[in-house]
Amino acid sequence: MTAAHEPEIVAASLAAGHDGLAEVAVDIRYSNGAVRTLTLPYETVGPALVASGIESLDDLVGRPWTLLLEPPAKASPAMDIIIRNGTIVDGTGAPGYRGDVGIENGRIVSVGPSLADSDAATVIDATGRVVAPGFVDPHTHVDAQLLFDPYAFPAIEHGVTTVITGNCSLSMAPVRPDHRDRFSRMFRLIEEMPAAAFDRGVDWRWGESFTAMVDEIERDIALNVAPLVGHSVLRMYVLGDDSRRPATPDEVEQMCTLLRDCLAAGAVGLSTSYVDIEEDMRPVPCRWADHSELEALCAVLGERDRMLQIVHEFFDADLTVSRIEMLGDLSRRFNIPTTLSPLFHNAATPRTTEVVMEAVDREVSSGARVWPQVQTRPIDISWTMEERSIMFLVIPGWWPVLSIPSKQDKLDALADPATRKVLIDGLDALSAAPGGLDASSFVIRDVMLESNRHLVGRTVCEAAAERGTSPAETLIDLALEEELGTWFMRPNIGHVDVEAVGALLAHPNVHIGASDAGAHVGSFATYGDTGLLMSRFVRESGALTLEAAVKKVTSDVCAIWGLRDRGQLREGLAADVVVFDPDTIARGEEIASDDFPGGGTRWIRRSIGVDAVIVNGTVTWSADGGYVDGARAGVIATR
Amino acid sequence: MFAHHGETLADVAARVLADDPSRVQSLMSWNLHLALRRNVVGQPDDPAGALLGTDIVYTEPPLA
Repeated sequence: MTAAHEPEIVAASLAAGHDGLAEVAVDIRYSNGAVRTLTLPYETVGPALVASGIESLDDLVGRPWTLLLEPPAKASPAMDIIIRNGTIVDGTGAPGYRGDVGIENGRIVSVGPSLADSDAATVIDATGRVVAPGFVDPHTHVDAQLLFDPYAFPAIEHGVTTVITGNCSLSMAPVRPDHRDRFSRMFRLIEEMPAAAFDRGVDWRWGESFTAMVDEIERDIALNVAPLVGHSVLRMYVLGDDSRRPATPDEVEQMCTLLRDCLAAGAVGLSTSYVDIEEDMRPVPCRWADHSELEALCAVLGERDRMLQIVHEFFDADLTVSRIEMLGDLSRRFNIPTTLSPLFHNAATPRTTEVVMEAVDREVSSGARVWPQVQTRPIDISWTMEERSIMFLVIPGWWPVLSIPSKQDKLDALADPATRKVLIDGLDALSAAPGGLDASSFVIRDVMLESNRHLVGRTVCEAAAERGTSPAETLIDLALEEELGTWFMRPNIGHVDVEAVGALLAHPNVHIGASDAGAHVGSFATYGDTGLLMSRFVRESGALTLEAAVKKVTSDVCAIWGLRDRGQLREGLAADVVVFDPDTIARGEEIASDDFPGGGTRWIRRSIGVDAVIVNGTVTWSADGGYVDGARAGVIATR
Repeated sequence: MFAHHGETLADVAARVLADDPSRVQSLMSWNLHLALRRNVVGQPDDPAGALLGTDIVYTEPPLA
């Protein structure tokens, strides 16, 4: 029955209209008792009857008259997000073209055709902008940061929607409770994260298993994560404290089982290292393995076509070539993708990258999957003497002093004449060596005392000349005067030749990555590399076309790492999207930030020229509104 | 080749260059990165300083 005030149908019959077409005569009674006859063309009424499941006109009696209204035109499907009038660069390398992108339920539902007749809860005007897949960063250490910062600030605002974590043999699981302290010391040393930030920010709330960790992370992340499991961690878990030895066959089997479980839980592969050390300067656990152990683990990776990531001896061209040959062998035998990072261009040894890439090309042409990772940014290192920069590992005498935990004890050591002489002699010796670490080129980046303000931006050599001391003495004196607060920088250490680096980045067998995001936080900013790619190597030098650059950091990465659900703007794929201005996109200046737990300074770069970033169909950051509160659409990208 | 865990360069030289009277010197000159590491040439005081199973050892001179 109809509602009390709604006119209802009291009679209905079929009739012939004046033009011979069928009509339906309907008597409608109003709530006041009045009856009115309406004559409607059958072509209008028919679809209404069908839509209402009514089989005969008699069945209309007693029903509301509105049933006879022409059913509303089927509305264009309402979408969650429409991005209008952008230049679509879809990640495949195809030329960009003007069009719209529609997103619904976290998925891309339309790419290209006009959606002018469609509506959406969120509409983004991308006129003059590029619409591209979200960028994928394949070498990060945001493992710890994600536990207290679900946005991995400021990665997302640069267009990064997916990160690979767990690189360099270090993942946050599986780690037994009694190994947490050793692990944290390793992570803090190798990845240069302040102890306060790690200790306050990492609560190990998942317990110890890899599965529990990724479950926990996935509950509260704003971007996608594809986690590697670390070889050092696997060894600690199985071998316990006694991990500085080869494993027994039974232990190797246990590691294989554990790796298999991690892969089933969403691990994107295994990471290992040939260079890293623990606090006592001894090799990290994975370096104590026999090669046969790695082979066994690679066989497990081969069961799922998962990645082997290594940190190779990047400072030695011959060893780098040998590792590439090793990876080629492992890739062919176990049918796995492999990647090594980092690969730098050094103006002092320009042939190195040519030799290395020749080795890569040989392996690739013989069927191996070997991907060297090349970063876009030049290398600078900033530091204060309050923390210890990894750079000082190679300067005789400096590392033990900078490792002194107490600030006052460190100041006392620096002031001690005997210690001071050791430090000065060590640095002078290195400065005198051909191609050595030349302290005179260090720049004074920031000072604590106004009386030293005039030194900012000047080299240590210039300051030393003013003071009548040596560069090494000036370093120590300034640190003492300013109670370790002086910021120094060693600029342009390498990877500065735009033409050479651009050629590397454009090489078809190079994997753009190695950002190290989340690591070395007091040494340099690890965010904004994609902005630099688009500004320096697309817009300014033309080393890559825009389409090629986007492909390199989207679909190429996903193809290399087996992330099949993203990386392109294509219907059905996860809606990870970045909208940016191709004329202005860049990385911002390196600035200090004190946002980590426990304070302290880390270096970051904000984005320039990015308008909006969408993660799995959720606007997570926009230039207008910043980071969206509560946006937590990130997933474990391998599940 | 890969070293065996705990070997020194002298051990490797004896294993792969047995007929070369200057085998240790040869191996050192081809593996400066290892020769410079503590305790890898002679019998080590600290086994941790010896070669690792992950170390690559060159058993012939580099290509010209």
